[in-house]
Amino acid sequence: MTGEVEATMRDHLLRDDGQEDVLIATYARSTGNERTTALIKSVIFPREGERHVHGNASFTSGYVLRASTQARALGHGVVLLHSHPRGRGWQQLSNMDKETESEYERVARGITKMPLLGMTLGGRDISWSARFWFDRSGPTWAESVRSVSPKLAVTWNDELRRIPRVTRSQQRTVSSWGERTQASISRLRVLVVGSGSVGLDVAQRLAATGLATVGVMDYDAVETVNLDRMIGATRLDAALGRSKVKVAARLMKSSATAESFQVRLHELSITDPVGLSAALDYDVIFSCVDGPWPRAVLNAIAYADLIPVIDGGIALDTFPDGRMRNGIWRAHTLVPGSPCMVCLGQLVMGDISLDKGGLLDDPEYIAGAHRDAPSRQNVAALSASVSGALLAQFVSLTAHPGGRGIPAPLRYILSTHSLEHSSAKSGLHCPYENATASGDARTPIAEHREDWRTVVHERATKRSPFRLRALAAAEDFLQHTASRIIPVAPRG
Amino acid sequence: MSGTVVLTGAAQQFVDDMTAVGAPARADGHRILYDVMAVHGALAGQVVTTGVSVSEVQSWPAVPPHWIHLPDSVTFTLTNMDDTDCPPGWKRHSREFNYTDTSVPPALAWLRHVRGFVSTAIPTAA
Repeated sequence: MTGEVEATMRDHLLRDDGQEDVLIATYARSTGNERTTALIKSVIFPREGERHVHGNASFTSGYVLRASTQARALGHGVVLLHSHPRGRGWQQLSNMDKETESEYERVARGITKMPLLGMTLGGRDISWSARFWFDRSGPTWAESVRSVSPKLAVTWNDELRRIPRVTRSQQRTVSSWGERTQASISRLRVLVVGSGSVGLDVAQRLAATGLATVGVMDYDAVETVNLDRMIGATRLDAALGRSKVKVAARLMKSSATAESFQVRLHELSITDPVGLSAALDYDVIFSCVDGPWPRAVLNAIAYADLIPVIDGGIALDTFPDGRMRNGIWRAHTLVPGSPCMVCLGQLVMGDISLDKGGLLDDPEYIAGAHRDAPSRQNVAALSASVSGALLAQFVSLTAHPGGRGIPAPLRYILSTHSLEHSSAKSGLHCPYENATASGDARTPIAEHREDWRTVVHERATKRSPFRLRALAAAEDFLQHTASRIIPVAPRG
Repeated sequence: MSGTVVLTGAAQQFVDDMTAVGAPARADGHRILYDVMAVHGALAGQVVTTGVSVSEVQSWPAVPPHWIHLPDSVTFTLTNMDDTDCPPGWKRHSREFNYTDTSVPPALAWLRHVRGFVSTAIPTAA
């Protein structure tokens, strides 16, 4: 849910007189490969006499029927919410609460054709819990409830997503923000889209921070021209034409400090529906790609599916004689309440069609349109600034230093040594922000394409010279052996 | 143009949005057509029928179209063009659309863009 919706529901459910209260909302689905998320869409307040507050609050059937009919008209499901004003942490269901939700499950599902969602608010620490009712027999508990705004707040179901044990390698990390924050950050599933110079660095630092699950998505391979920026990629990687995600996985495993670290490899394109589905399983996404089309897909996910997207990049400018004129790096986090890439001026909507049509890489088209060819300059020394800026956004989003969330979009100008906050505001007619929480009803931007599939297939079927394969096997053996002999040490 | 293409939600949204900003749009085979008034140039004061490919508005309004369909009789000094989705006597022209001002409705921004482009038309060679 957005922070705005969460505040509205919280204000209603936590009463000044300390009694419990109830509320109904509607939800839309966001369906990933493995995860289904209910996105809270609208709040339906009770009318006079539609709920009873008497210590334990209760719904009237009239309220549930009215809300269900309203939800059906919108194509949404129904959420029944109640509060435990003195509750703390993930709330279980009392027998009475279970009976109530079970009783209304059939009504809500019968009218909306979508499962009922039950939610409880624990008032002591503002923790939310949730469960789907697919039938009357019992609830299926959610793994987490996420409130997305400039601050990402997650309530975890500790039984389904256990708190990773702190390891000896993480002592200084944990002493920086405390065990509670570490317990939350380490459970976030974070996806890095694009495993080039910036993405590779971000992915390794997330692993070193102690995250238990990090995904990387890229369908490209390491080439010799990448070696001046992809820190950790080797000449052997380039000679073998190894996929960037496999190189990222190797480096992340070496950097990981979690006792049990899972790296998920996605040799996919985010511009294809299969890439989009994979991305919808994550809690936070780093956008480390530079094409207008992939960035448009990620821009849409941030709002339509309420998954914060941390985006940024660098542009270098040279004089005609080749000397550096200027460089600008940028970092911004896309969440409801903050301007999207288009509103920031970081994504020209007209360029998305050109990118989809392959025209931005077509020299004939570029010459005919009298536009500049895409800039290819990049420097490893500066890409570290971009990854650092993106990671600082991540810390602000998840650890809230100073009690504050993400900053306004930032840009650093190399030639004037100035760091600027953007004052860009969201536009009233922004098609991305106006699609907030649309979930599976989102405007389809990703499209099935064969070109990237061909790249992945050809790499998978390519046979390298024997000497390179022998070197690769020796390298794998050494790494696996080192991991077995020297495992991550638990905290003593 | 013969053949009827069933419009998806996004393409129908384009038709509705263009109509709402004063350019009633209609499906025509693989294209969506509408009329604009040229305010400058060789066609100043004339109503010109123009359009886009249906395939280009499958992600509308998140992704605007690029190519502008026009009759052969409308010519320009410099433009990339081809005849994809065009019936005989038509061409589609490339014109970069630098829309980032989201305080303007997307359809109005597109209409202004097309009107501006049509106003750069040059007289047809005799």
